[in-house]
Amino acid sequence: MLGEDVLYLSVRELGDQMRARKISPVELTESYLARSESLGPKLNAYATITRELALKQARAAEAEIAAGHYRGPLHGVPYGLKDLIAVEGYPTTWGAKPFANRTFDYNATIVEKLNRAGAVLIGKVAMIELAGGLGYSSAHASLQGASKNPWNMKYWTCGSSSGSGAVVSAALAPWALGSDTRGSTICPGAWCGIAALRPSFGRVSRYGAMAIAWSMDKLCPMARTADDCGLVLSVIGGHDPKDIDSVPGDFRYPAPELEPKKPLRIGRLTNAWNKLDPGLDDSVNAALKILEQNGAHVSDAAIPDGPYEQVAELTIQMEAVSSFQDLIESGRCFELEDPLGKINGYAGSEFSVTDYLQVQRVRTFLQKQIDRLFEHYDVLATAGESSAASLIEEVDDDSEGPIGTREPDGISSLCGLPALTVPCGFSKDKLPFGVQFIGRAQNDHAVIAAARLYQSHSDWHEKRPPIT
Amino acid sequence: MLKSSTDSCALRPESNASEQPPPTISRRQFSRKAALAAAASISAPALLGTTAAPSASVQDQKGEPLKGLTPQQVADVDAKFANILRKYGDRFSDDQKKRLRRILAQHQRLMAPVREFAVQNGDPPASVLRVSFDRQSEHKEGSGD
Repeated sequence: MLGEDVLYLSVRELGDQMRARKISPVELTESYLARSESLGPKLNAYATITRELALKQARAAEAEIAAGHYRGPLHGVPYGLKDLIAVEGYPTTWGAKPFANRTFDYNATIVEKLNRAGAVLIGKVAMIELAGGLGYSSAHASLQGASKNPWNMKYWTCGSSSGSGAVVSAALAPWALGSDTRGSTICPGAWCGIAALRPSFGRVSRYGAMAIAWSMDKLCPMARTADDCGLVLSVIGGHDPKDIDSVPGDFRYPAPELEPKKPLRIGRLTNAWNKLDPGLDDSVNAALKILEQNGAHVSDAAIPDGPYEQVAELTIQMEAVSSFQDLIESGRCFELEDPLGKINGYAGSEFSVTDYLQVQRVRTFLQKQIDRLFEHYDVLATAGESSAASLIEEVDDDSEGPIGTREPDGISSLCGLPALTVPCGFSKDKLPFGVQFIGRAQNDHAVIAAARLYQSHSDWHEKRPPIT
Repeated sequence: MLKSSTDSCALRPESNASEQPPPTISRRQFSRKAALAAAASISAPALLGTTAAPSASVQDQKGEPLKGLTPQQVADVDAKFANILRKYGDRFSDDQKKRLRRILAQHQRLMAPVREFAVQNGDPPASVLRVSFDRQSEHKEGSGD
């Protein structure tokens, strides 16, 4: 079995070593499988470990690479897949009891792309039920139970890509796929001390993935570095006629000519979040200082006034009611784990068509308004989340509380903007902090470039959680 | 609340109803208020399954009074609440019913600043019909090419 020093390598490093035949895809897969089967249950990280499929794919990759047929940067590299994406013949539970025994007879587009790239599927990864589509109030709202944070197992990984965060952080696989409707990838990325990229809306096909809110859902790579996220996006991105919101063209990476011209212009958001954890603001500022010392221009920026958070929340609730209409009308939503998820859809069913259209018309203004900020900045920077990880037993029921108006995940998700979080320090409880970069819609290269520049001058991403 | 923007292409100024109350109620407003009033007046006793002396049991199911909402918003909440109970009432426990009503109240709070946001006749929604499909790819997919 390969040791931790290999299992914590980046996707790029693993790919390079496999291409040079210094690492065997089969041995690498067996090592990740063994670690996944040992640590995965402790972390509630997986829904299904796909051992047979993984070994079959690894053997095929090994034979092809040995024969000189190298498919690209993910060839022979294992990965985990959030359990809301269809893999033919394997359970796809959406993290929810009503779908505990459901399988699809086809592959999602993203799985087909990864198969063509020669990637190795280690397992379907745990998640919050329905990715939180009908609401949830605790970490336990999952068919697989609460995912535990490898940095301290009393703490949560965040959701809804809860297992994806745990898998990458604990090196059960070098990368995993998450999804993000509003913060479901950026938050687990920040709390688990890894890189997590939410691509621009439409960049990655969602055909074969569970829908919550069609106008906001994205599929997202989570890995050890920003560079790895770019590599994965170059494989999974690109137009797909099966997804009506898919944007034209491929996503090339690396593509220096598509990155922002130097110096990189960074806007430090001064009015994001209602409250930040002590120390987090300092960590973000220290990260920006490093970027400044390495050629970036950093200046203050402010999110304009507007009901961003309300429009984001309403869009999700309104579209989710339609996505899960069968579940609501049949009453099977009462089989969900979370008390809020059982009833929330009924309240959402009472929104009017006029309300929905008003929300979407206001959204158009908000999109234009936030887009204008990027005339002055290549990326906006702020904390990945407002705090370090919270305790698993902490219930966060904000369904009836006040709503923040400047939470970056709501604003950027609503407007389809790319965002990438990478680790930038630790709390006093030794839990990771993240700094996120938000880019103009379709400018995924800018957020990758900013985070990559930071990681090339910092080593937070090389820290390992105390889990064995 | 929204601030007026210096950029004419940005946020539209709000319709500041509190400063300039409309002299007469519009047909649309009247219809809406009438519908809400009608729904509220028939809903509580009839739709909560109580016909006589409804106040105590209705209040039990509704829970605590809703704070921070206008009377019209409360009426809207109760009309929707009654509609849910009419369709699915037997699915909920008493506690769930109370929570449901609080969620409906939260929807009102979320919608308030959005409803206040002035939009003009031609302002389109963010979701639009796409009239250009990738027909070639779809054809290939369908024909198994």
